[in-house]
Amino acid sequence: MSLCINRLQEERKQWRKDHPFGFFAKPARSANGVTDLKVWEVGIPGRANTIWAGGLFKLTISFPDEYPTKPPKCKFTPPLFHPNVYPSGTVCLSILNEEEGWKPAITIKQILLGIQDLLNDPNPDSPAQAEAYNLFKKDKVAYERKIKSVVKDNPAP
Amino acid sequence: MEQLIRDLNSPQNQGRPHVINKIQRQIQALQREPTAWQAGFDLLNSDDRLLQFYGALTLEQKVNTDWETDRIGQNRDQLSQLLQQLITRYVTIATSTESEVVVSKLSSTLAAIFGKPDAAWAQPCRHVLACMLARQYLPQDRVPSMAELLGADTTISSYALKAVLRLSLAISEGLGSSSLIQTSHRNQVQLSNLASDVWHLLYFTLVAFSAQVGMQSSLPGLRVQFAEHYAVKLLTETMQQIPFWAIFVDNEQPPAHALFEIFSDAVSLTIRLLQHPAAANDCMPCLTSLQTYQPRLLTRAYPEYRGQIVDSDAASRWKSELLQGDFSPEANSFVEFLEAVVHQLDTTTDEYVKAGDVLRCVEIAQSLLRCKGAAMVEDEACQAALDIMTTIAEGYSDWSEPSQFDEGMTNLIQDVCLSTLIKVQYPPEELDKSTAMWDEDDNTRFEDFRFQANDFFQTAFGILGPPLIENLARSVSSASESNWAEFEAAIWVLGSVSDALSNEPERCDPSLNQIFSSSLWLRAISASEEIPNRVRKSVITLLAETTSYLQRNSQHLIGSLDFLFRSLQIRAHSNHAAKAIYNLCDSQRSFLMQALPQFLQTLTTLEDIPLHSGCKVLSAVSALVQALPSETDKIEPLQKMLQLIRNLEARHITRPPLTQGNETHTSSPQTQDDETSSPLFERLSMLAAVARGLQGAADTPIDLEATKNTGATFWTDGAGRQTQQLVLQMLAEPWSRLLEPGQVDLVSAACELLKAGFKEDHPTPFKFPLHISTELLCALIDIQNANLDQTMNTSSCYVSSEPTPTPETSPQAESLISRVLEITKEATKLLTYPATSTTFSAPTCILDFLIRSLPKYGIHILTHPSAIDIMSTFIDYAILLLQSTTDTLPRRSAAAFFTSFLDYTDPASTLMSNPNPAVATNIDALLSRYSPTVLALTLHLLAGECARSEIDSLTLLLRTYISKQPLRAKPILAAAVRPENGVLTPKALSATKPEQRARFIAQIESLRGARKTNDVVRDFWVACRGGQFGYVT
Repeated sequence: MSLCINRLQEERKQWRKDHPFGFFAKPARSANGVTDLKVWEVGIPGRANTIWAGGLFKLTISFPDEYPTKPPKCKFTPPLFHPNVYPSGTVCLSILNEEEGWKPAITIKQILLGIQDLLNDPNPDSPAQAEAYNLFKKDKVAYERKIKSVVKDNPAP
Repeated sequence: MEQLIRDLNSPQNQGRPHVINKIQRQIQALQREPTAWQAGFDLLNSDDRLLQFYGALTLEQKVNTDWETDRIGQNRDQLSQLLQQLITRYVTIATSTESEVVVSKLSSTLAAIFGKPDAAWAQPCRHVLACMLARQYLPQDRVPSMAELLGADTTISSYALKAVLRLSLAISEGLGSSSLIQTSHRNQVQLSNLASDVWHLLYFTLVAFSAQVGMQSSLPGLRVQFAEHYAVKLLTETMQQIPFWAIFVDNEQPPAHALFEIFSDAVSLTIRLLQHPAAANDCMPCLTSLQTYQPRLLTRAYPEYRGQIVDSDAASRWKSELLQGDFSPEANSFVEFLEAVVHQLDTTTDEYVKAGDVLRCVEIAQSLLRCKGAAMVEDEACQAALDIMTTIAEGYSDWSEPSQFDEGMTNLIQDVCLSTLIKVQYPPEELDKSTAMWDEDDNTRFEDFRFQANDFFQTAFGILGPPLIENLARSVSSASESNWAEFEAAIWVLGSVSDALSNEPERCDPSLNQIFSSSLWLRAISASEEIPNRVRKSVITLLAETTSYLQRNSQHLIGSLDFLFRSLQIRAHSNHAAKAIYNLCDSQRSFLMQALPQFLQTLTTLEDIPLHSGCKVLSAVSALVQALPSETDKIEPLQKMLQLIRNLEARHITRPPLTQGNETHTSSPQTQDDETSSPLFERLSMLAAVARGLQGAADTPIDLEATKNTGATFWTDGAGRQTQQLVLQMLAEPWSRLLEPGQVDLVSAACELLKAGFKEDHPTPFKFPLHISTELLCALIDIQNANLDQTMNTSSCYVSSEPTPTPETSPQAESLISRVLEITKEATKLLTYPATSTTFSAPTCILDFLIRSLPKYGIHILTHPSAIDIMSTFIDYAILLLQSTTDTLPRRSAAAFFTSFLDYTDPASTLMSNPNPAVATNIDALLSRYSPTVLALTLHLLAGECARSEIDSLTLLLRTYISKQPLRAKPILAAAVRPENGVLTPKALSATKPEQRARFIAQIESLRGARKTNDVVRDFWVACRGGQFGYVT
C-alpha cells in the first residue's frame, strides 16, 4: 500500500514538474478538499492537426493497491466513442494490460501520451466497442464526422 | 571514401538533400565493409580535421556494429593493435592542437571499446592519462596507479587533461544510456575501480581550476598548463560528469567508502566555487543534479550545503536577475535546485519549517512568483515556483496537529494567492484577438500555467476557505474601470474553485454578490459593452459553474442568461455559451420556467448559430418546458419550438455566412460540418435535442413505488395528440430516407430521437405509443441500414424501457423479433457466402441485442409455436460468429450470447420457473442439440486457437456451462480432448500430453465454474500454443 502511495506521490511531483502541454492530471478531491491519491482526474487534449484537435477528453484513473505492480484502470467519463474504448469507458490499451505491455516503470505521463496517440491511431486488432469499431472499419468519412461531433461535445476550455 | 566525405560537406551539395542522402548511404555502405577498419585509420591519420572526424566516426561505427562479427575481442593482437593506434592518435590530436570535434568523436570510439566486455580494457582513463603524460602509447601493464600519475612532478596541458576528462564523460554517457552498470557481465569491481580513477581525476581538475582562479593552492605533483580561457572548459567537463560518478560513491563498501572523502571535498569545493562568477554557472546545474538524484549522499557529504547555496552571492544574483526578467539557464537551474529541495521534504508535518535553510528556499520560491513577464511565455521560473508553493500548501493541508507555524503558513499561502492571481493575468493586449500577439505555443504555455494555478487555488481554498473568495471579490471590486485583465483573472480563479463555493453558501454568497454587482461585471454582461473575448469566455465559464449561486440569487439570473444568449451569436463562444445556457436551464428549470416566453422569443433569433450549439439551446429551453406543472401548459411552447425547427430548416438553403466577428479562433472545426449537414439531419438532430430536454431532471430521484402515470395518454390520445402527430409528420420524410446508402448520421440522429423517448418514464410528445415506436424501429432494422449498430443499440434500449410483453403488447414484440429474425437470416447468408455483392460489417449488434432482450422476450420466444426454429436461427448465427476467424468482437459477442442463454437455463431463473412447460422443454431440446457443438468449439478455441483477449469471455462461457449444465458438459468435455474427435488442433495435441489434457478437464470441472478456472484455462491456452509462447513477465 505504501509503495503505491509513495509512487503516486512521486508521480504527482514528476507530473507537476514536467507534463505535456494541454494535459491535466491531479488526484481527485472530495468536496471538503481531501485528496484521494488513488483516483486521479485527468484530461487529454486531442492531438493538433488530427480530427481530435480542439477536444479535451476527461478520464478517471483508478490505481489498485498493488500499483505499480499492477496497472491502473483508465476510464473515459463519459464513455468515449472510440474503437478501443469499452462501452463502460474503460480504455483498452496494451500498456494498461498486466499481461501485455504493462511495466511498473511506465509513468502517468506515458500512459496519457499513449492514450492520446490511441485516439487518432486506433488499434483495429483490439476492438472494445462494436459501434465505433465497425464505423471506423467500413466508413472512415462517417467515422471522422462522428469524431468531430464528439470533439464539440468535449471542447477544450 | 575520402572523396565522398568531401562531396558530402561540399557547399554545393548543401541544398540538395537527395544528393546528400545518396552520399550518406554510400558512406554507410563503405563503413560496413571489412576493410573499413583500415580506412578509418587512414582517415584518422590524415591532417585534415574533417577526414580525422570521419575516421573516428567510421571506427566508432565498426566497434558498435561489427565488433562481434569481426571477432575483434577474440584476437588479442588485433585488439591490442587497435587500442594502440587509437590511443596514439588520441594523444597526438589532443596534445598537439585543440580539435574538440575530433577529440570528442574519438573519445566516443574509445568509450565504445570500453563498452565491449571482451575488450578487457579495465582502466581506460588511467591508461589514456598515462599515455598523455608520456606523450606516447604505453602498454596497459605499464600503466602506474592514479596516485602516481597525479603525483608525478610533471606538467599536463589543459588540452590533454580535457581529452582525458572527455573520455570519462563519454564513458559515463555510454554507461548511463546502456544500463551497463546493472548488467551482470560487467564486473562491478572493475567499474568501481574505474570510478575511483575518475573521481581522483575530477577532484584533481577541480583543485587545479580553483588554484588557477586563485581560490586555493594547488595539489603537489602534476601541474596543469592552462591555455588561455581554457580553465572554464575544464570545469564544465568536470561538472557535467560529477552527478553520474556520484552513483559509485553512494555505497558503504570499499572502494566506494574511500571515494566518499573525495566526493565530500569535491562538493565542498563546488559550493565554494559558487562564489566565483566564472565558475558558478557550471557549479549550479551540477549541485541541482546531485540534489535531485543523490540528496542523501549530498547531505551526508556536506550537511550545510543548502544554506551555503541559498546564501551564496550567486544565489542572490540569480534571484535578482530572475525578478528582473532575466531567465538564464543557470538561474533556472537554481530554481530547479529549490524545487528539488522542496520535493524531497516531508511537508506533511511542521518539522521542515524549523530548518532555517529550508525556510529560506521556500521564501525565495515565494518571491519568484513576482518575476517580471507573462507566465511561461516570458517568465520561465513561475511554474517551478508555483510547484514549490503547491507542494507546501498540499503538505500543510495534511498537518494533523495545531502548530505554532499555522499563522505563518496561512499568511504564506495568502501571499502566494495574491502573487499567483497577478501571474495568471493575461497581458492586456492578449485579451482580445484583434490585438493579440502570442502564437499557439505561447497560448498553450500560458494555459498550462493556469492549469497548474487552478490546482494551487483548489488546495489554497481548502486551507483559507471563504476568505480566498473575499479577496477575489475585493480584487474585482477594486479593479479600475478598464482593467479587464485583473477582472478576467479574478473571474477565472473563481471558476477554478467553483465546486467548493456551494459548500459554504452563507459565507461565499456575499463575496459572489459583490462580484456580480461590481461595475466591471455589469459592464461585462451588458449589451452595450464590447468586451475582450477572453473576458467573455471566462464570464461564460463562471456562469456555467455557479448555477446553484444563481438559483439562490435569482436577481442575477436573467441578466446572465441574456448575456449568454448574446454570446451564442459569436462563433468562438457559441459552443461554451450553449453549454452554459443548458447547465443553467437544466439545473434551474423550475425557477426559469417563468421566463419561458422570453426564452421562446429569443429562440427565434438563433437562426445563425452552429447546429451543435442550437441543439444545446433547444434542449435547454425544452428543459424549462418539462418543468411546467401541467401537460396542457406544455403544448403551446412545444408547438412553437416545432414550428421554429421547421422555420430554421426552411432557411437552411439560403443561410447567410455565420457571424465571425470578435472570435478567438479563426479555423473553427464546426464551420464545414454545419454548413454541409443536410436539412433532414438538422431536423432530426433538433427534434432529438428537444426530446432530450423534455427528459426529467437528472437530480430528481426516481420514485420506484409511484403508481402508473395518470397522464399516460395525454400525448397519444388526449389534448397533446396534435403535437405528437406534428412530430410524427416531421419524422415521415427523414424516415423514408434512412435506408439510403451512407445515411450514417441521419440514422444516428433518428436513434437519438427515439432513445430520448424510450428512456423517459413521464409521457412526452416524443414517447410514442408502443405500436408506433415498434413501427419506427422496425423500419430501421434492415440489413441495408448504414448504422445498424446504433439501431440495434436503440432497439435494446426500447426493449429495456418497456415492460415484459403481455398478450396485448405481444404483437409489437413479435414484430420486432421477426425483424431481428429476418436480418439474422440475411446476415447468416452474407457471412456464409461472403462473395455476394453486399458486405455485412455489423455482425455483433444482433447478438448484443439478443443478450439484452432475453430477460424480456425470452419467454415470448420460447413459448412461440416456432420457438425451436427461431432460437436455432439465432444459435446457428452465434455459432457462425464463434467460428469467425477475422474478428475478435464477433467471437466475444457470441460467447456472451451463449453465456447469457445458459444463465437462463438455471432452474431458479425467470425463464425456467415459468409455468408454461414449453419453456423448459424447448430449452432442453436446444441444449441437447447444440451443447456438443458449442462446447467443442469453445474448447477448440481455448486450446490455443483464440486470441489472448478472447480467453476471458470464452472461459466465462465454459464456466457457465460447467456450473449450470454440469451433467451435460462433463461427457462432452472429456470426449473433446481425445485426439480421435478432432476438436483440438494437431498443434495443441502435440504440445500437450494426454494426461495434461485430462488433468485440465478434471481441474475445470472440480472448480465448478469458479473464477480460478480462468487461471487454469490460461495456462492450458499457453501450453497448447507451444513452448515458444508465453506471457510477458
